[in-house]
Amino acid sequence: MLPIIGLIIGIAIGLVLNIPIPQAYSKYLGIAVLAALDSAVGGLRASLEMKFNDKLFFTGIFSNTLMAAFIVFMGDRLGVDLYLAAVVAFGVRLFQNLALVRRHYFQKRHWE
Amino acid sequence: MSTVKDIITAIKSQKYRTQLAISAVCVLLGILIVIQLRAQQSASQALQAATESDLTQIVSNLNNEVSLLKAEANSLRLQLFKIERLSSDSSAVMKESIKNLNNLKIIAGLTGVEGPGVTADIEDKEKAINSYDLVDIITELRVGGAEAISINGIRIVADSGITQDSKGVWIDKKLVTPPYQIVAIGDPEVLYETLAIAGGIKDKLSSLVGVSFNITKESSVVINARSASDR
Repeated sequence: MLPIIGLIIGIAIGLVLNIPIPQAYSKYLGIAVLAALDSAVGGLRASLEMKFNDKLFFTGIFSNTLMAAFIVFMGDRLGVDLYLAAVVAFGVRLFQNLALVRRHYFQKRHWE
Repeated sequence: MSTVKDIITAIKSQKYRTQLAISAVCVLLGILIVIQLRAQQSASQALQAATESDLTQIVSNLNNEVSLLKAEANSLRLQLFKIERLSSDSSAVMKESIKNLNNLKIIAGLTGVEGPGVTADIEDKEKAINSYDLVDIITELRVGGAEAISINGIRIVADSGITQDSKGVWIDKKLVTPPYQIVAIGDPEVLYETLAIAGGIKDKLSSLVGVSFNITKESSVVINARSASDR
């Protein structure tokens, strides 16, 4: 419940602050969105598996975001669409985590 | 009070910490999503919202701008070309002037000259050759294109005077005595022919008593600048 409230609060803050972003950095922002989404779902899965560790969680967010930003930057420099690598990595993990979260919920219901 | 304690213990519990951490990330996620959606929207909105006539207007404006910039580029290129030509012109003028100056210095006898030419050795045992003959020789050499001439080491220039009195032949203020050595710089072949042509000055002077006239072509002779004492 709390994460959804947090998401709504975030959207409200974004709407109120109205931060302009140059077109050149929109690729970076897209990757950042993906990284955040991946971290959120990953955290949810870890919490359901009772394996959640907040240090691991926060360092994971930052290292993933920085690495993704670096990959996008290198891709821009090298003229290769390297950011697709980050997109695919995050996307695959996102779906895997989502599947595990789903399974967990159903299993819990099943056991109850 | 018990509710506050409950909340504190709840916050301290692993479950709520997890919830809080994920919520914090969700806040961040919300902010990022809004920013990104806005950025994408504003980027695509600008052209999508425009009507066909607006787009036509935009395209024609851009075309105008392009043609204006092209014209500017052309005019700047033309300017560059003009400036380049001007600079090369002025350097050419400078080179030409220096060449002229050097030629004039040679003619005025201000500088020493070295180059191909001829040497005429004239032996005159009976003092049969007079100043007019020497002037004739110099004239012939000049006709033959001699750049510099000297008689017995005295540079002959435009205002050199060759005179004669009872003591002998004078060039400017110096008395010259036979044998005469005349050195001229120019095309050796031409100068040789000028002097040695049949019926020319060599034949004329050689017919005098006691005169021998020898001309040699030289690949390199040196004529010094006119010295101040000669004047």
